[in-house]
Amino acid sequence: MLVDLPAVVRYAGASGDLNPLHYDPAVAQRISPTEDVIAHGMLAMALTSALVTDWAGGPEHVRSLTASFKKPCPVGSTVTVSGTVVEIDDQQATATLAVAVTTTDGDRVVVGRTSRAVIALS
Amino acid sequence: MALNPDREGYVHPAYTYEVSREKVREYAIATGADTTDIDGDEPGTATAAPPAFAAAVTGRSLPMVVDDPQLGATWDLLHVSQSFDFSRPVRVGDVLSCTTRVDRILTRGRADLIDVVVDVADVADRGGESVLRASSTLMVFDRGDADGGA
Repeated sequence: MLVDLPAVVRYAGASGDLNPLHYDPAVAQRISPTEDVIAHGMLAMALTSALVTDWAGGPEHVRSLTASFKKPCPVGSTVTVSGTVVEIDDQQATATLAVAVTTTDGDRVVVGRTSRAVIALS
Repeated sequence: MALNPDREGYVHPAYTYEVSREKVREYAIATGADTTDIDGDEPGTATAAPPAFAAAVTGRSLPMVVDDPQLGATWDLLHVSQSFDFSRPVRVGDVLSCTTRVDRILTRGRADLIDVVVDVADVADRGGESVLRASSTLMVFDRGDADGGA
């Protein structure tokens, strides 16, 4: 999906995270690692949340979400969001997924190795 | 200027967050979450919010921590990691008490790390039922100090 400026501004308003780093090029030039506007890490995390919540059958089934943000997501990036089941716990009736968000340039915005969602299977 | 390590363990005054259907709808649309229940449920239904909506509930803790003059942080920072652990979903109509703690400060000179924990409880429940815990790590830069600091 496309993470463009309207998407980032919509997320800023919806989340209340109005840090100008995400939409003001003058501020971004000073403090952004890319010297340009980058999407909220939390927007990338929320995309993984939407994916696993649909897979799980609704918010009631989501036990935990973890995301580690590795590379910045430049505004205007097209990203791929993925989830891979890495563990099933029969005792707890949970599934653990590795979740990831990757740009078309191959930059890992949310790193699958350390980003997880735990889903209740019952 | 490095962060003040004595601020580790500091608990900010709790704030209240009241969950409205329209705010949840706005967040769901912004993040590509399913809006079937939010759109379809009768007014007054305690519809479950998308899990990531926890970021909107706990978001006010970030300016509390960063703007704390005792800490010495600036907005020259990056979000390194985030997790949410749920006892139950956040629901429309919830009145939530959010308590923000500076869990850990790691001063490393030009890029300090802060761990922040926000505990979210339901104030309508007499026992203050725990709803979720949000844990985040922030990296705060100090690029103004030409001699490198410590």
